[in-house]
Amino acid sequence: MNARLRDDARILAVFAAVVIAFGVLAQHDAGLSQAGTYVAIFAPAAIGLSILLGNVNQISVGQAGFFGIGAYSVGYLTVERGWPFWTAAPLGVVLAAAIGVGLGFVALRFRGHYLAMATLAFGLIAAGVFHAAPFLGHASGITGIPYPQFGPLTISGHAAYWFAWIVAFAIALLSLAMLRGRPGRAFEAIRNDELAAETIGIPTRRYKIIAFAYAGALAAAGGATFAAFLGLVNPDAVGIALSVDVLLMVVLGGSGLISGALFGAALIGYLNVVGHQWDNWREVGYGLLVVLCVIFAPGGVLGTLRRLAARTPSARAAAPLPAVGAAPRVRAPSAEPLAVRGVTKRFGGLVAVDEVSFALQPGTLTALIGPNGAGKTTLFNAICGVGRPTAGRIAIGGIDVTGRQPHRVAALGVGRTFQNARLFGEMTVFENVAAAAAANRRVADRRAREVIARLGLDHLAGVPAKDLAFGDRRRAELARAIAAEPWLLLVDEPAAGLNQPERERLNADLLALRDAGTTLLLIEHDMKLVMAISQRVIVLEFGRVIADAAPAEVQRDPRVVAAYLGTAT
Amino acid sequence: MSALLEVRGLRAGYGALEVLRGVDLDVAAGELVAVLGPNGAGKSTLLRAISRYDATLRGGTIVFDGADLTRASTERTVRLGCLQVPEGRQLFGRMSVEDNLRLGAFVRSRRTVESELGTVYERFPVLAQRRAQAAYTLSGGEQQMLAIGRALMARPKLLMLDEPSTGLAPQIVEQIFAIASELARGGTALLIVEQNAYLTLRHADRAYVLENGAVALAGTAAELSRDERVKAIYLGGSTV
Repeated sequence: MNARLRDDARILAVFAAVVIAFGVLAQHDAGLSQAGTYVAIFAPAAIGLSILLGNVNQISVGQAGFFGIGAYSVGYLTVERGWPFWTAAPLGVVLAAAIGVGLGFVALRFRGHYLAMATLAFGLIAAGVFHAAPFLGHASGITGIPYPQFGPLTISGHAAYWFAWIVAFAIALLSLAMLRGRPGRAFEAIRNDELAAETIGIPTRRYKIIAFAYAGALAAAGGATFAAFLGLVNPDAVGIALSVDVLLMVVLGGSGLISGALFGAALIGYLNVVGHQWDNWREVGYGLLVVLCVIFAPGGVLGTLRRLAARTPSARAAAPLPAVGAAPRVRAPSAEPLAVRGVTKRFGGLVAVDEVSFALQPGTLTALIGPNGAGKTTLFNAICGVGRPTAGRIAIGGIDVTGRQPHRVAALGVGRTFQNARLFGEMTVFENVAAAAAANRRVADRRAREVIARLGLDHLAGVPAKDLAFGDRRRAELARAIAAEPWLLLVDEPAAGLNQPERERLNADLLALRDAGTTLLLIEHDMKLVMAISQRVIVLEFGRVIADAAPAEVQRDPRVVAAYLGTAT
Repeated sequence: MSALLEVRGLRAGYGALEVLRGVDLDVAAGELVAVLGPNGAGKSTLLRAISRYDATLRGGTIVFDGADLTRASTERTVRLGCLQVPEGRQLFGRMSVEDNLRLGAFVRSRRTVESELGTVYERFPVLAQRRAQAAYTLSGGEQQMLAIGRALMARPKLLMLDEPSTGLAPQIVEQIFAIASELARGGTALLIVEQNAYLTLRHADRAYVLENGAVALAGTAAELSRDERVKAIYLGGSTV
């Protein structure tokens, strides 16, 4: 299991003990008990944003909007419609999730600062609606919201403390379970490299939308408990200040850690209580705190502590996994693995790929060569679904994939490596490979072990990809591409930056893949390698095919010689 | 003739990637030296290492005009007179031609700027015509001339051109090489990285052919134009 999740679970256990101890100690102190309840109310919103920010790398400065949806749903439905809390709260959560899907669609169009602005705007719009909607009480909001009834028991006072914390921990455990499963792996891959995630078959758009919906639902759950235990909700309570508070909780506590979100919620909750006497200066203090945190502890308090703790025992770094040897399984293609028909790709006035046509036979190794800027990588991208061709059709195994999203092309059995080895840097070699093995966890883990063993990477399985030497990085990327068992593999400059022994190894690996039945298309500038292992060489120049023949023939072709060395006249 | 630039056993790369694996190279004043080789051989990295732009040095020495560049900043290499015209020209697109040129003299005293501007305009009359135009409105060839002109404003002893022919029509490329030869005759040393081997060899005095981060062949341009091994390096035949 991922070391981060393991640590997160451990810290959560400690937190649970602290919450129970605090609850016992505070049972006769209404002030303390209420402060504790407060923290639990805001914790879910922080957990949701922590996942969004730390695991999916998407920011939201509008979480108070979702919090408000939960709070107003409970307020309106219980006070005006007489619903019980138990149906009003879930409805608010579902409503928030649905609106989260909408925000997720919007978020697909934005990145970085612009995404922050867009989500901020969402928060402002939500606050405006709460203020303007006639049935939501305008500025004074909704008051007199009843406490939840559980049979004969009214959940209020200290019982509220226990209830709110049970909700918070249930959400924390649910989130942890999700992060351990396939969504967690997909999130981690997206956070590290969206394009690479797509090309190993992860539907990145869908997962981003899911993350927004989930974060929205959690914030709404917090809002629902807020309305029930405070008995009121108004626009001020769910305004921009709260969105910023939630962001502070995540940044200070440690984004990407569920325990970090809880810690941040506790920290801000505590400071809100203590800081009350300084009132106006409180915001100044928060501002300074964030600046200091970003400079000295960018992982938040818990993230930084975790990193410091992990640094001491270095033995953990490379725990080797038991090797499992096995032969590759390759699906037998029923039709041509790849057929490119008249594909053209224009960027503005520039024609990068110009009416290119060719088809590959199963189990062959073909090289695609040409001078810089000839359009090789653009053609690769078009085949993989990165950038729709301006004209022409592309078929994989007889299925037309023109314009399909990269993860859909990948799902048909197309693997790819990149010129600059786009591994998921924060993830270990094992996690990188397992993320690509599209299957349930157990099967994916086993397959990852097989592939890692086959490529002789066992000793590096536990090493984060960003710490690998260059040659190993390329091998790890090849392992990731093979893990999905593609029958068409596109390899972009695999030999660049490799030394001689590494090149020989690569040579053998590619031939072994071909012999196992994989169809390979190879972009490579190392002509010795190209001529030694390819059965066929396609030469592009200025986007056009100028030669398509056996290696020896291509080497003698005067047009190819001129393309590469120029002409003396 | 002692060398203006002396590179010995240079190893350099980016992060974990090692691109140059021990390169030796000399350029003397007034010489036009070409660096050839297939894609990925390390040609651009060599220039970027010498100009101390962004390649990380891992070993070897670079001595320029008696000064050790291995520990120098990019700014210092420019002040010493070692200038690079980067691939893709990297002009200040929204600024005027003249402002681009003036910025080229950033490291020099103000008094010299006006006379230097005159010299550059004399060499490139087309830039004088377009002095008030924004750089991005120039044609590709004019942009390449502006990039060279901007570097000349610093009065370089060594001018390094990275793929000056990229995207230019053959006629314009001829013009660029003619300018380079003229500069060399005037005493400036030139180091030119190019894909187009035969064309470059026609203009160069000497050349180095890189392969996989090391010098595979070196010699006078005349020798190398006849050498079949150059072709083998580009197209993957046997070099022995």
